[in-house]
Amino acid sequence: MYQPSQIFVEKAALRLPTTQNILSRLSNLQPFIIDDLSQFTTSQRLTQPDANPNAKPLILAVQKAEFLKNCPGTRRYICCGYQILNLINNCEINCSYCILQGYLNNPFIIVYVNIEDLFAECEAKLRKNPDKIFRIGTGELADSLSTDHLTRYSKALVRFFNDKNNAVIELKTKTTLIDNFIKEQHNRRTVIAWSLNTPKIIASEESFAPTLEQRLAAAARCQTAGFKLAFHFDPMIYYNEWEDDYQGVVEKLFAQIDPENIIWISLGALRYPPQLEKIIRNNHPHSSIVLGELFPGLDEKIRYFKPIRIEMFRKMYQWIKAMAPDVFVYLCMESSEVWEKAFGWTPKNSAKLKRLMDKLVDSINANQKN
Amino acid sequence: MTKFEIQQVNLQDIELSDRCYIFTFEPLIANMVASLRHIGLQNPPLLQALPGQRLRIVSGLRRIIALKHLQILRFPAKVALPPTEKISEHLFLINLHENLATRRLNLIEKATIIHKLISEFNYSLELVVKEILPLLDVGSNPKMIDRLLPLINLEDRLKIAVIEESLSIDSALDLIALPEQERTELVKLFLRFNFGKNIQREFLQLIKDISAANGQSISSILSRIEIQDILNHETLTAPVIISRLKQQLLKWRYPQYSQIQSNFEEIKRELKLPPTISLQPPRFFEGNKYRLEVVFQSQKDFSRAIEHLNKINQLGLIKKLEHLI
Repeated sequence: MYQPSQIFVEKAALRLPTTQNILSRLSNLQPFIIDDLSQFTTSQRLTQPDANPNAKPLILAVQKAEFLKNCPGTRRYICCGYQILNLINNCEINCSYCILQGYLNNPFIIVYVNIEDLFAECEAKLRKNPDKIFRIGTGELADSLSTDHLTRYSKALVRFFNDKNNAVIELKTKTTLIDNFIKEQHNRRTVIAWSLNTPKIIASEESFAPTLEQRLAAAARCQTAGFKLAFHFDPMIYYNEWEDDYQGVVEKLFAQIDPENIIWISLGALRYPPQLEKIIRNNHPHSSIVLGELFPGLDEKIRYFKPIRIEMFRKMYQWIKAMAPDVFVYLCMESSEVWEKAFGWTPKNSAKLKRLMDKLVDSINANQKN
Repeated sequence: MTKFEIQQVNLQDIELSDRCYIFTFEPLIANMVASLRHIGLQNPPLLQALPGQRLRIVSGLRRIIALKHLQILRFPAKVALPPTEKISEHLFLINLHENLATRRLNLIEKATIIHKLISEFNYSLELVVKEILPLLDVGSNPKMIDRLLPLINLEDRLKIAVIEESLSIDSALDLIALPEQERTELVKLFLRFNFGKNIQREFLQLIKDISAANGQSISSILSRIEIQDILNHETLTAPVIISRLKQQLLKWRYPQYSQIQSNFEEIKRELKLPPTISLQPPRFFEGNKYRLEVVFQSQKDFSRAIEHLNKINQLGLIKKLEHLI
């Protein structure tokens, strides 16, 4: 579990209740006060890998920009129209493939503590667009739950979205930190999502993450508590035994989870911005993920050679559909051609994929009315 | 306070193995021997007096080795007094500036200077960046220190290859991490066929990746029959050998891509395109659109090209291209 080696508090964040709560949970650490987050992080840029990623220093700061933003997705491929809450930046799990290594060139985990502002902003945006469906996640720039033992944000988010009819919040994680929210009333407006991978990839590429079995056991507990679940096989990694291993994960998943409780499953193959390759080679010299047949895609991100991706997605789709014919499976950042060749159908464009996924959120409302 | 005296010294009193102040890396002394033979010692070496009438070289290592070679066992030298075992930063800087004023230092020497300043004279990285890097004419980027320092751990023949610019610094840094036998084989290959710096880098990355992906040593990859056939071909020129070696490594590194690429080339051959028509596949076969370009100068050229394209259309070869990706 994440334990920061140091804690820094932005002056403006010092008096906020969340700051005080977090500091009380880290009473062994003496907080350092900093004037301004961006000035401080710029002066502390990191070029070397962290000595101990699981003890990254923590910064408590005030989010001055908007919390809720459109997921940037990627150009020239189909994206799902997701929205992201920029509440926590960075992650300590230290996955070799993590794109945050390239985006965030500082060693800190940044937690924004003005969560009341976040709620006010979301409330206003959701009310202003009552006919729009918001699929919102906190797991794009961080693991949604890996700092939850310090922040307890999950509880507050579950409570906030409990009565929102035009939104769901997706908490995407690799951890098992579910105790803070599991007893909360959620009205199925919170989706708890796990990133899944094969035991081999978890062991070699996700240093500080729980095992597959631990993640599925946590998912099963959330299922019992009535939460909607999601699973993300992303990034899928191609290696010699990938077929047996990924099929094994699908079997384990459905041995514990009823497809009825799954709102969506995504598939995505390893991809990263070109500059990340050097970082992966430097930070994770024993990782073999960069040894795949990877080339620049239409968006210049490095991806597996297209026939490899199609083969991986096609087989995964078959395995999943064989066990859960009705579950919605989608591809993250793929072309219409790959959808068609892998799944036998395509949403054709991002707008149509968004509509399909929004319908899944709508169906929660319909089921609750019935 | 150090003072200097010109004295006649005996070669046998000089601790030749004591290289505290020495950063010179120029193993070839033939020119120096010739110069001393013709005009004698014009510029006496600088030595530090040690307790017990021994002497330590501050500057002039190549001159002293050449004098030894010429069996000149007694010669004048400038000696720093009083005798002490202690290494002096001042003397090191004298040696440095004397060299800077008279010749261009090579990269290995620059690396050694930085190493000595940090390890022997406790220079901080900041001080090296601020005061030493500009003197050595290597810019002022601190990353240069990380690039230069590992060079001092290379074997001498690799150092020589770096100095002679037959081996790039980047390749040298990559090679350092490899076992000695693999390093030797690769350098031999690079030098034998005169690999350019970019191709060295590319070749190294490819072969390291193939080695890591297959769990095989670089030596065993180099001894594969496909590589040996290329290396032992009697009529191929060096550039052709390098190109074929690279193609072979690319095949192993990207087997599925290479297969599709080769299928595409096969279809293209069947199309028998004239030089005025060119066909490009999507980049890395990621997209799904081919690009066809026709170059023409006259109605006649144009008609001929269209005629050829019509012929291709009837052969069903375009369907083959469609199914390729």
